[in-house]
Amino acid sequence: MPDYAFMNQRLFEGDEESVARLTEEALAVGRPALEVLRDGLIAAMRVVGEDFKYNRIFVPEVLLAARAMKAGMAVLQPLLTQSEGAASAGTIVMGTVKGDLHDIGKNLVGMMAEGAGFKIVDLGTNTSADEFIAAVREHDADLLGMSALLTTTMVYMKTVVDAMSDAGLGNVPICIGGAPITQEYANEIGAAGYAADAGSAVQLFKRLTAEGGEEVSASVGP
Amino acid sequence: MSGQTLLEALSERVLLSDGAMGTQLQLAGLEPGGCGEAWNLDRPDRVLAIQRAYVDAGSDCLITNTFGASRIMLERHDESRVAEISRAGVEIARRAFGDRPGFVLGDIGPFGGLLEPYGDVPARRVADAFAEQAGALVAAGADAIIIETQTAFEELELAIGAAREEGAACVIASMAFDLMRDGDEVRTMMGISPEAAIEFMHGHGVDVAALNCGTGVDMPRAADTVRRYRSIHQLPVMAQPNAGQPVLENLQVVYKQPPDEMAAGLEGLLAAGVAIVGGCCGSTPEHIRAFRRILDTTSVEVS
Repeated sequence: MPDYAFMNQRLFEGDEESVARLTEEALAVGRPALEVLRDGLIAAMRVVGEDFKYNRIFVPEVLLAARAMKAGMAVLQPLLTQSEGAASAGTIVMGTVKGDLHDIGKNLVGMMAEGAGFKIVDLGTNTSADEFIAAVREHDADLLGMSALLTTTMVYMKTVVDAMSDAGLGNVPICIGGAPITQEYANEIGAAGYAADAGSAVQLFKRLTAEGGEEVSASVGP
Repeated sequence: MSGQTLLEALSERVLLSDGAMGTQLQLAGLEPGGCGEAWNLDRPDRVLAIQRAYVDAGSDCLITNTFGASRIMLERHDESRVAEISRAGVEIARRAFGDRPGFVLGDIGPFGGLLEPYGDVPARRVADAFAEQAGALVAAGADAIIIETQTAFEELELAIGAAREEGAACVIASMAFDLMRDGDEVRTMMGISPEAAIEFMHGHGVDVAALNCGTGVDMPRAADTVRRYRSIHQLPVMAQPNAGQPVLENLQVVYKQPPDEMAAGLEGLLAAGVAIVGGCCGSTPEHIRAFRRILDTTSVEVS
């Protein structure tokens, strides 16, 4: 049995090389890719998200952990795409809204969501309603995520919410985030959800996409 | 100019800086997300009018409209007039003072991305961009370089180095602290405490240690942070808090702490030993005027 606690710790510390090696070793002793993903990688990322939420760690630590997660994912990816039951947690289209060029927070959410098994379609910054809608259609997205850092650009989120509805995509849940965003604002503009930090965002995505497919990261202790 | 340098002035009295620029530009017609720095060349009259209003309100220092004027930030707006924009920013601020004495603080904001190894931007590229911007600001006659809204040591170090190499007479380093979830501690986005920040700034030869903006950092919280800075090193400290907490109004987030209410927090900042005060998001010429009234009627021991 691989020492998943040790692997979690290496991931938490952002040790890319060790995570990649331990992932390979776990596969070499015959553990299923899905188990390694769940117990070795995702379990650690959940702790990262939780510690970030409570300010026990900060952006640099999260970024390095996410990078270590990616190193492990790179080893698992070929096996996961072949294996059955490896359905992703869902597809999320995300971007920073039109007029806004800030992407650190959005990228952080994207990495954490990827770490939780979501497929991320990242439209980058300065994204128009039309671009969001086209991507949601093209990728048959389960959820749309929007970010804004500026108080002046966050108003565009309402434009997108309305445009999604007009385009007949009102059933796709929309989540929003960014420094000036609040739950109150999300309620006002009719967004399905708001999260204050990347870890909470992933929990929100899971909740809102829960009806579709099996949750790949079901309760595993840290 | 009075012939006195910024540091000399600081040793004698508390200086008043200015308030927000971005929100004022938007009031003057800048579209959301537009490149406000380009107005230094395209709408200099409007930038000048804003800074004149701050001078009229009593500002001793003006911060140039160059927060996002590094090559890296301007490229995001497909704007190639890099040195010109910084140069014009200094000239407009100087013009805004007219015959009055005053200090022009050449502004350098974050480059807007993440440095390697956290992100994918090489340090060399950021150092070059800061050097280009600082060089233009210093050559145009800025009295100091102010490096604002910083959250990471790696980036701050590059900006301080650039300012020094380009010959800045005075370097002000300003960190953005956010209130943590426990509602008590403050840290930058990258996890830096005020104590760690002041140690770093002191170690890197910064002339004035500063703080600006930040989520949840109001006047009392800023005063607390100034006190924490000064408990470690006795550098002059500058503080530019936001005009209170943002609130939702007609689907827009606005800062609307009234001038008198914000100014009521000034006493606490002065007691904490602040050397330069100003305002960040949401502060207006009226806020600065309210600060001026208090500064003019309060005697402060400068230490």
